[in-house]
Amino acid sequence: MIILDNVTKIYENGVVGLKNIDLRINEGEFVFVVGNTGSGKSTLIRLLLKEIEPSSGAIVIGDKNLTRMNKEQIPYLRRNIGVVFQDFRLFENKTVFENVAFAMKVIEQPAKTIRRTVPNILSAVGLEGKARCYPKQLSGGEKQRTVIARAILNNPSILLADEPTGNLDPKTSWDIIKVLEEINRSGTTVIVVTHNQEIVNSMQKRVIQIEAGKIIRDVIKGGYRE
Amino acid sequence: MKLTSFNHFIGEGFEGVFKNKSMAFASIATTAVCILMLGIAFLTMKNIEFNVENIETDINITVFLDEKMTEDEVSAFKGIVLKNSEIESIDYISKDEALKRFVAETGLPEELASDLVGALRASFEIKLRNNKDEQSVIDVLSQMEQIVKINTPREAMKLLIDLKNFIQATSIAIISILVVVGVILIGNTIQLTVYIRRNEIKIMKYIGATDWFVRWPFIIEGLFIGFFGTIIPLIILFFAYNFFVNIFNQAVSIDSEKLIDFMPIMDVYQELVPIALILGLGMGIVGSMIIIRRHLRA
Ligand SMILES: Nc1ncnc2c1ncn2[C@@H]1O[C@H](COP(=O)(O)OP(=O)(O)OP(=O)(O)O)[C@@H](O)[C@H]1O
Ligand SMILES: [Mg+2]
Repeated sequence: MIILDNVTKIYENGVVGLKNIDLRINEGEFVFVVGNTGSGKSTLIRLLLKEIEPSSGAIVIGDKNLTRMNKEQIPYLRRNIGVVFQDFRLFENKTVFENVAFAMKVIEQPAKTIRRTVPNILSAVGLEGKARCYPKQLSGGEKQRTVIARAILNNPSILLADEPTGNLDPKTSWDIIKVLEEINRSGTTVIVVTHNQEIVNSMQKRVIQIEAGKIIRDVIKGGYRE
Repeated sequence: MKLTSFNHFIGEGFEGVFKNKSMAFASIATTAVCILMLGIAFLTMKNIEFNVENIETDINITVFLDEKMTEDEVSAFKGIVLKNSEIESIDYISKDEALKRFVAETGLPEELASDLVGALRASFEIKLRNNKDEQSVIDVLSQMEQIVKINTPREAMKLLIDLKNFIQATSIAIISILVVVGVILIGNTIQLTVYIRRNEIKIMKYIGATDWFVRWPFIIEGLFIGFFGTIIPLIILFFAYNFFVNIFNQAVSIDSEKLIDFMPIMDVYQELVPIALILGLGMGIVGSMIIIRRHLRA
């Protein structure tokens, strides 16, 4: 479970990122986070990753209180949270296989485990046959699948996606959302920040709308707008 | 640290060196010059010490007494001198004995020698228990009015020791400056690698890499630079030294008698290699740690 208790984030320059946020997300939920540009969606994602600190309030993920956690524990928090970005963030000089495998290398898994696990994950996200390609040889959708494969390789309980379809055409966007839905079906909590109205409207999942740093709408089944 | 991670760190560290070749080359070159200076200074000082020791092992103080002294006065003098616990023995060297020694040393015909050294006088040769006490013994002896003149081989040695101290002081100064320059250059090289890899570092942190996992490749890169910067000059110096010793001995030896006894290089390297490695690898570690502290904070 993810709990935000009266969380406010004011950036160093005084800009309000989020204000008095109370939020609960249960294990296994699929949540869309929507809102105008600059409303604070990415701020929420970065708070959950402990990339930034809240100015006040408390954040709890599972049995860990992020606001009390020291720096040494951050890597272990992040191993339990997969993350996907609009701009992919792949290693350009590594193949698809190496990019994905790297997530296991980082947590010091034996080479044998890596060789066994990575192909399974690649086929789970529909990247069979692309293992030896470099990112520049991939389409946007394939890049994002690679990122997703890397994000779920270590079985995180949470998957955060900040505009995962932002750089993709409508058809490819749908493919990616379907992959995320599939991951959610296996029990992973999935939080997707998006501007894609069509997808949000037709999926009818939980929608949290943030405007000017505040949650103005939180519905169990809903569309992009009220 | 797991073995797979170790391989990863070595690979990444090595790649770092090759990613910015010119900077890495500059750092290796500076470290190499530093170690080369250290090596040259070390070899020179060790050889001076070695040769001074050779002289010191047969150090004698020769004292000349007032010629008008009677035999009784002379033996009384001997008794006084021997009371000094720092002195091992005192031997009388007659005029004849002095002449024989002079002939043996110079190889001149005896008649010629005796003409030359008409002024040779009888003397006493004083052996010390410990060469270090030399100065205090000389101080005592020079107080004694029976003694006209004191000769010591100190003069030549003093020159060598002064030279050694001078080399030591200048090389410490130069090496210190080079160490600082080297550390800064290594730091800059690694900073450039950090910059080239800034996006990778970000990704690594997102997927849960510990700080040490991120740091190790940069430390390894520093160690690589330090290692090559140490090994290369040591190898060069090894051959250069042997070459120089051969040339020198051929050029300046008299009747195949060596003027200077050079130490075998392996004897010097037994001490030099560990010192050089500690310095070179230390420079690499310090250079990378400075940058890591500054740029890789969580
Ligand atoms: N590092 C920062 N320093 C100062 N202000 C920031 C920083 N990051 C974001 N902000 C500001 O905080 C507010 C919220 O930003 P955030 O990135 O969360 O918006 P967003 O909802 O993700 O927008 P978008 O849909 O365009 O991605 C914005 O006004 C933004 O300018
Ligand atoms: Mg954003």
